[in-house]
Amino acid sequence: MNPVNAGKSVTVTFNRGFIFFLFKMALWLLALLAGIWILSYSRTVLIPLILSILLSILLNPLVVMLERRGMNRTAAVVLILVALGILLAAALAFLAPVIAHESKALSALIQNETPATLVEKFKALLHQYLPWLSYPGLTTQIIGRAEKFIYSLLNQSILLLPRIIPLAIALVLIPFMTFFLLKDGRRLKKAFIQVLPNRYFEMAVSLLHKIDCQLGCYIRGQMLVSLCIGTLAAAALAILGIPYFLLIGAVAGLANMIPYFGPIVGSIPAIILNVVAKGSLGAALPVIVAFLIIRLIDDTLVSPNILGRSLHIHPLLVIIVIFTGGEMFGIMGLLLCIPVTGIIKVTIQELVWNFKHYRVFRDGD
Amino acid sequence: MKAIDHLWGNIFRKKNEDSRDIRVLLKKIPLFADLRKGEIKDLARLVHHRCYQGGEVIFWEDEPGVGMYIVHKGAVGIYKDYAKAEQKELARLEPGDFFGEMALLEDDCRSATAVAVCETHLFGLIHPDLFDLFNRKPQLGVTLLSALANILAQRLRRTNLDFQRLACSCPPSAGEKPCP
Repeated sequence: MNPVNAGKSVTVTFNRGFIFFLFKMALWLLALLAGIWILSYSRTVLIPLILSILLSILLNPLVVMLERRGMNRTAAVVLILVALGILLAAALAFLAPVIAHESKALSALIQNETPATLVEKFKALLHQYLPWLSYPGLTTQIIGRAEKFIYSLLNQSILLLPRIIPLAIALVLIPFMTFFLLKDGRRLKKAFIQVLPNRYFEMAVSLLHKIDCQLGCYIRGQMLVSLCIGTLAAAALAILGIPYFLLIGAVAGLANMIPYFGPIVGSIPAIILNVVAKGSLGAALPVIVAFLIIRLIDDTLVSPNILGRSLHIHPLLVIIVIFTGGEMFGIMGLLLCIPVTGIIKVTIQELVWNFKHYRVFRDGD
Repeated sequence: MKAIDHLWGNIFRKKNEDSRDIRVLLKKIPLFADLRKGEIKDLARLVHHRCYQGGEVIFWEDEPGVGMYIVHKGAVGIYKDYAKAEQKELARLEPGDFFGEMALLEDDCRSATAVAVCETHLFGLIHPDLFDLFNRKPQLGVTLLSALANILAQRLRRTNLDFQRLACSCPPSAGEKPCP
């Protein structure tokens, strides 16, 4: 203890309003966690709801564009959703023969090459090109792990089959939910603000608006970047003459929604399929180079121009969130965890800003 | 309860009692005088109805401003240095008056504190909602912003006159010409 202060009593006073605020925030947080916990037991509704929210954020600028041309909002929403449905149906009709052909070829490959033969083929390739792997301990370890990985991948794909029913439900729920979120989104927001106490009114309005803006930019940007990457990947693989380029391009585009891991995850199926199809490890090289070039284009041209200075999420947080999301909700959790983290991050950022600028938090007036 | 009513009202009932009141009040305000019927209806949809008890602070000086308010019922006092020894009442607003409109134009902080004098009902128009509407209906935006610019120009002219009068009432300092 400082000798000057020795013998003096130090009184620490807590602002009553601030403690009350902290208590209320803790209650809200508990309610939120309870809500998430309950919803996590009904994934059939939760995932379509999150997807509908994302879709409504994505489509809102188009609805606004039609409203600017004098169209009624409900009519604009219906028109956009119908147009989207027709577009998807047309894309499916156009791509269905290609995808069917690719799927047939892929299933033929899987039927001819059972997991055991696939592993054997890999073993032979590894021994042929990397003879130093023949040291017994190292080879057994690597091949054992690869074997486990391939088996787990195949098991996962079999486990996906019973999820087709929730998928069908989601296909019905998503357009329905998106319609109401687009049509009545503003009314829902207004109704939420209406129940807030007067002291939080201005702050809540400002908070909701900023979250809406930042999140809208982030999600629209991410989706546009993914579309660019998927198209680039499909084009590059088609040029290289790699089979199933459309499917792999779609996977690469979707995987790009997951920062850092996405590009790697997207390139793995392409590498494996090309190596197995051509029977040479060297076949991996052009795919790796193609994905590196795509990554370079993304980092220098696509992302800086589309995303700009939008929401930045720290790599460490990305890793934690991806693993938690993946463990809780599987593949959908992996894809949706980053946008959801974006929502939470913007909310916390804005709460901190409001905490500094609004008196209600400081004085508990 | 109001929110639940609002939500269900959205499905079963199209208009609530407030909306007619809001439209009538908005039409009386000089800022919205040039708007057409449909535009007033669009604007009325954005309005937040808030009820304040006597002595309740509507917004504080130096806090970020997010919009303007129209007095529907009751009265509002506008104060400088509210709840301090040097507190000064700048204005008292009655039904039909509006305040906080500067927040529609700038992102700056509030220049004074607004307090409900008695039980007061206000209609709040929020900057982000309003600019979202302007984005959808640019014509409405032009009409409303030019009306707002007109009101501010009138105020500036009045302030200039007040300043001139004030300057004339003070003796001119050395080297300065006296007022004509």
